[in-house]
Amino acid sequence: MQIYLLRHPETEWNKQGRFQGQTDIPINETGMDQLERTLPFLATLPVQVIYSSPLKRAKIVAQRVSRATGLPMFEDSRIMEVNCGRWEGKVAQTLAIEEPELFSLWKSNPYDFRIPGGESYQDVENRTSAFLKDIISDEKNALVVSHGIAITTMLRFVLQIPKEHVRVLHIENLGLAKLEVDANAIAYTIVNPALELKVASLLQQV
Amino acid sequence: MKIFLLRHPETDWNGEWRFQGRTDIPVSKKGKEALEKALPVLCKLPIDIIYTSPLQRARIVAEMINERTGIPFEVDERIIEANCGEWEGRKVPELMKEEPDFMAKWWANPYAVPIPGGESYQDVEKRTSALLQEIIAKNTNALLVSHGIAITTMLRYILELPYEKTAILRIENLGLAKIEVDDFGKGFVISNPAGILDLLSFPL
Repeated sequence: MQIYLLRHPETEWNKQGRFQGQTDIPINETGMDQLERTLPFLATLPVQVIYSSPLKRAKIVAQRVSRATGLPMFEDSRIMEVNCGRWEGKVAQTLAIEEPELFSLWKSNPYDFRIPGGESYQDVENRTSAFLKDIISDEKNALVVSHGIAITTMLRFVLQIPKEHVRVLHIENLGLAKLEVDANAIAYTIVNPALELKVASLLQQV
Repeated sequence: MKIFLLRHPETDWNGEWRFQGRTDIPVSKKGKEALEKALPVLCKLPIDIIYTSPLQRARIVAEMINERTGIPFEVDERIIEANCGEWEGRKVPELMKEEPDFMAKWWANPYAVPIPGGESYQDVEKRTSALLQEIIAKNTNALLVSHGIAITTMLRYILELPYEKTAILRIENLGLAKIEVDDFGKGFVISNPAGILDLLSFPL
């Protein structure tokens, strides 16, 4: 079975480099354009079900794919973004000046450090990995629309990257990761973009 | 700076699930077709130089991009596939039947257990990571055309995966991985397929 993990399109806060967390910011014009371009491709993914974070910036993707394909869609709060507590809305550079000690703790090991009033990456991984295990036991190919840090924790869980090294993973807006699950293991698959292109160009001809 | 890692197109031995290693098998008809389709994307990657394994299944990709774009390429032995010793040409399912215990031991940790008469993944990572370090020091955007095991070791090196977890990575023929290097270090980037479409300015 296959699980596709997709990050939401761009928002104004992404562009400004603000901690977004669970603040419910909509996607911006660039994000809408990204979504329109990607939608024909997303609609051809071989999935049977769509899961979405309840936040607008993710849900708009799930809704559009569901509408285009007729696939069922479920909201799941376990794949919501990390709660960034009192840092939500702040720009990283500002935090580095205002709260240098906490900020450097968070940067050096976000798994152990809980953002004031919010979550640590470990808190996030506990819920996202529980979600992953559930959908794996359902054995349905799924598209999961979620967030930068939420997806980072899912990939760390699958790949078993050392927790202090988790920053090595970057996920672009609308970045897509493919997991293949079989009896023995979950595998992370590096895909051929030309296959994706073929799907999209076929769709153009229709 | 960006480094793209690309696995060669399909060969007949890939299709038959044989260990290929250093045996110099050409790209199959199916692989050539896939390559033709991927070329428009590959020709637009933002790179200054191509490094390729000396084996023909990889070199053909570097040569075709060079023909179309003029981007220079260098053959580098360090990103040749793992030497698969006695297993080259053998089918995986047959070996699993004949030597189930050794195969299980090898697959549980290919970093520590060398292929009989060939290399361990550790041997491979030593040479592949040396090239990566060199490219990073030069600060040039590069495409590396290489092989399944060789790329696996480069990604393990970047991601610092536990050695025994390496089996978790799979790379399709023509699978493309992107690494970004900045002041903070090396990062593995999960790309947006629409970004790839953008490279072609698809009128979607």
